[in-house]
Order: sequence, then C-alpha cells, then structure tokens
Amino acid sequence: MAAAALAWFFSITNQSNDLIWPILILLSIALWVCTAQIYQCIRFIQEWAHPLTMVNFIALGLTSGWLLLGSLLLFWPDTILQPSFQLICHLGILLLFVCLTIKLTIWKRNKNLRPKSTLNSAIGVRQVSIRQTSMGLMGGSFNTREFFHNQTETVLSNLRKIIFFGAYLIPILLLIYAAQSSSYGLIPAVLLIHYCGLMSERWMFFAEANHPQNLYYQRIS
Amino acid sequence: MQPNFSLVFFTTLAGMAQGLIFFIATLKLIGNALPNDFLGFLALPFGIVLLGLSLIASFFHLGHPEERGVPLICGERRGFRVK
Repeated sequence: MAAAALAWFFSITNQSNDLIWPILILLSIALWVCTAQIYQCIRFIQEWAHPLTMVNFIALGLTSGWLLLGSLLLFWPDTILQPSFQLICHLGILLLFVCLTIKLTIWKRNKNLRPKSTLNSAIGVRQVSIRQTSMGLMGGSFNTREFFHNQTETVLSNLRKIIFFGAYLIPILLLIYAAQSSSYGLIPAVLLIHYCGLMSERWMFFAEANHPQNLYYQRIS
Repeated sequence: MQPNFSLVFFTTLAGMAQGLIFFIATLKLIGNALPNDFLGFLALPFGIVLLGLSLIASFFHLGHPEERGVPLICGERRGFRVK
C-alpha cells in the first residue's frame, strides 16, 4: 500500500521514477502469493492444498483488476479510444476464460476427493466395520460450529450455478457483445456482475473445504 | 469451514486492488500508456482506497470476534468478566 501511495505521489506531481512500477508489480504478485499460501499450506484440507488454489487467486485477482481498470478508464473523459476499448474487451474475455478453465478443473478435482482417514484408521481397528453412534457431546462446541457452513446442499448447488454464470459466463458473453457493438457502458455492468460472482466464489471456496475433523463430529447420539 | 464474510470481502477486494495496480504498472512499463492525470486522480487513489478497505475488513477476521476484535472496534461492553 505504501508503494501505491508513493506511485500516486509521483503521478500527482508529474515526476517519473521508473523504478516504482516493477516494484508495484512484484509487490502485487507477492501479496497474492502470501494470501493464497495462507490457505494452500494447510495440508489437512485437501481441497485447498494444491497449487491450483494460488493459481485461482492470482487469475481471479488479475481478471477483476483488469475489469476494474477498464471501468475506470471509461469514466475518465479523454483516454478512451476505439483500439483500447477493444483491448479491454478482448483481454477481459481471455482472462475470464482462463479463470473459468481453472475453476472447472478445481471443481472436477474436488469432486473426486476422498477423505484420507476413516473411522477405522482413526482408532487403528482394521478388520471390523465400525459405526459411530455418538460424538460424545450433545450440545454444540467450537468444533461443530466453526468447521461447517450449515447450509443445505440446494443452497450450495444454487451458489455453484450463480458462480458459473455470474462470475464467468455472463461476463464473457457481455464482453463479446460489447466488443462487437462498442457499447462502453457495459464494462462497469460486467464488473458488477463479475464481482457478485466473485464474492460467491470466495464464499464457496471457504465453504467447500472439508476439514478431517468433520469425520468425527457426525452424530449426537 | 465456516465462511467468514469479512474474509470474503478482504480477499476479493484485495485481489481486485492488486490486479488494478498490477495492470497499471504493466501498462506504464510497456509504453507509458496511462496519462499521469488519470493515474493521479482516479486509478491509484481507487486502488489505495480498495487496499485500505480490505485491510479494515481483515481486522474483523482476527481473534475471537465475540470477545476482542469487533466489540473493541464497535465500542460495546463485553459480557462478563472472567475472574
């Protein structure tokens, strides 16, 4: 943030220090890597512990940032020219398409994940088939509240549809239309729709994580 | 996991602000394509404000929200004192 403030100071006073721009690029990438690593480094959550988590973070950040830049450029009276509007649309479509590919890969991978431990492996009893009858407490606890999202499967599958259409498909289609018809006003609309889908996507990212402890907090009695 | 809304806002806003700054810097590097006025008055302040908002959102995610962070910021009194 300090580097961005410095760059702002430079541009207000019309100085040019060309060193600030590579620093900003590196700091942006570093911050993405850091925030993604917070989740990716947790080995126990299989959905997260994969390089695709970081790739998804960076790709979505780049995409939403590009759409935001495009919207800001449109609000500024004299910078927008026809070729750059085409660039905004085309690069936006490309980035959204890349993000969609990554997201579908992640979803496909998550569907095939199985827990690495079972009741048998937990207590070391291999031959017998075990059934849990009670989790040992009747009321809730931190473990029963913090690690589960408490939504029904319908909510989740509706959210996945919202994510697919809102964050990826509708923005792609709108951008293709905007590129053909040069309608400048569509870009902020695309940003808004994409951002709503992005928030749902991030919610889903946290909700679909399955901590192994959920295997054991199954039944009250 | 229980999705915390402050986390949702923090990661999405920060990601967007970083993307904005990334592309501003890239466009500046490859051809000085963005005029200083635009940067100075719209784009970079927007990016800084977004980063600041995401930072504030991340504060609401730390600690035990029911004990420390949120009541401290919102000024409520805590429930009972543990002896």
